[in-house]
Amino acid sequence: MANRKRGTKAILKTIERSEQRSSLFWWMVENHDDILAAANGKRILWQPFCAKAAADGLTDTKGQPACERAAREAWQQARKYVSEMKAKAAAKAPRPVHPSRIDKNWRPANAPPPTNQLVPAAAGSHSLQELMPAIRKNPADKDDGYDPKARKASLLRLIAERSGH
Amino acid sequence: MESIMDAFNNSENAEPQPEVVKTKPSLFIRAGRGRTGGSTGLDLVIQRARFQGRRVKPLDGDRRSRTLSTLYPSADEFGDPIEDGASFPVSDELPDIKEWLKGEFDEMVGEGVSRALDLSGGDRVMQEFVRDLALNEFCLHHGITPTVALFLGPDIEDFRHATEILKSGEFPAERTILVLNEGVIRHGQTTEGAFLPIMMTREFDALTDAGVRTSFLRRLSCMSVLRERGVGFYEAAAGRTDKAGLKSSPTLAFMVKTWLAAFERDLDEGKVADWLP
Repeated sequence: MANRKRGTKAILKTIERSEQRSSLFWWMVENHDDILAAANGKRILWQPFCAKAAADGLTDTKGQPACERAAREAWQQARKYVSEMKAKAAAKAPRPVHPSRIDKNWRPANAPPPTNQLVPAAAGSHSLQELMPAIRKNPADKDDGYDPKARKASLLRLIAERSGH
Repeated sequence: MESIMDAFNNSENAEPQPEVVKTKPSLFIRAGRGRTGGSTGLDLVIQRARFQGRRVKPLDGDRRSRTLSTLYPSADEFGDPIEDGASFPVSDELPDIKEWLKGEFDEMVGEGVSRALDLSGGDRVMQEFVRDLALNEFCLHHGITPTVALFLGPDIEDFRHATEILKSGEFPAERTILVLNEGVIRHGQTTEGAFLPIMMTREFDALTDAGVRTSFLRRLSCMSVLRERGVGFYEAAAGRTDKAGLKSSPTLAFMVKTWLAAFERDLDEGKVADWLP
């Protein structure tokens, strides 16, 4: 079953990939991101690249080992092709999601959290007082210089230290 | 910190220090979920007050474990009453519990002796009682500031439960302490793994911004040894002998001494030392 699936995929790929394109071009498309990362913004040295590509059986449109110029052109075309494919994918409308597939914790953007759930500190834009309206402060403790943020930072340092960091 | 470390010098002769500042009794309530080390924490608070020369009477409202009643019996082996031994309700029925609390609060005002109340799992009782008596106002009227300590273990449900209590507004919560209790975190779990999920919620920030304070209680690895031998924290730190006549070893004494000093440092930093009885 798995073999048949793989075979079908390969056939579809050959239909999708026009013979007007070389095997070198398709290799570049498939490895586009890795090539960019490896080049790291520098110029690619095409001579050693072509030698390695030829050794791996990657050829131009005529089935011949690619020369430096052909490899450079193939790379330009591959970059253009990948860029177009990415733009197309981004423009595609999102697939409809069946209600039963929606995460139970999903909430509309900017909606306040339900009161019986804990909220990560970074989330939401509502005020802290809204969350804890019932807390009362003893007047005697107002001016004792307590800073909750400094205390939290100190506790975080302590528990990191106690955890071996 | 220096003061508590100094207190252990000449430890053989360490005696309770005379009361200096506090004159008004205080009501210290331990609430929240069970199995968060609250009874042990309350025991520490009681021992600390007594070591520093202040009277505290334990009130054991934890109907399942009865920890305080065991640690602080109200009568000796001959049946003679022990001063400031723990008291508890005559039954688990709600009217009896309410009656018991009412009697204890009356005595607290009359005697001027602080109370440490263990209410693990008894939040409903307290909420009803607070509603009936307007406890916060009652305490303030008599110059008593009630303090609630909510102990938190590694389970996020401990914190969720605490926030629900505080959000309800039915607790006398002008002074509330969230105690992060390292002593109950699970084997193999890190302190960060236990408490970061709590501290990184907006509820934690909201509570602390609103005036709720925090305390961090470190793990004491020899806690079970102390319990088995029936020796108090301050006695062990001072190297005193236990009931069986065994003296605390230097390592045991040092561990407890260091632990108590860290506790004091944390109370000072968290600015809750004055909130304790």
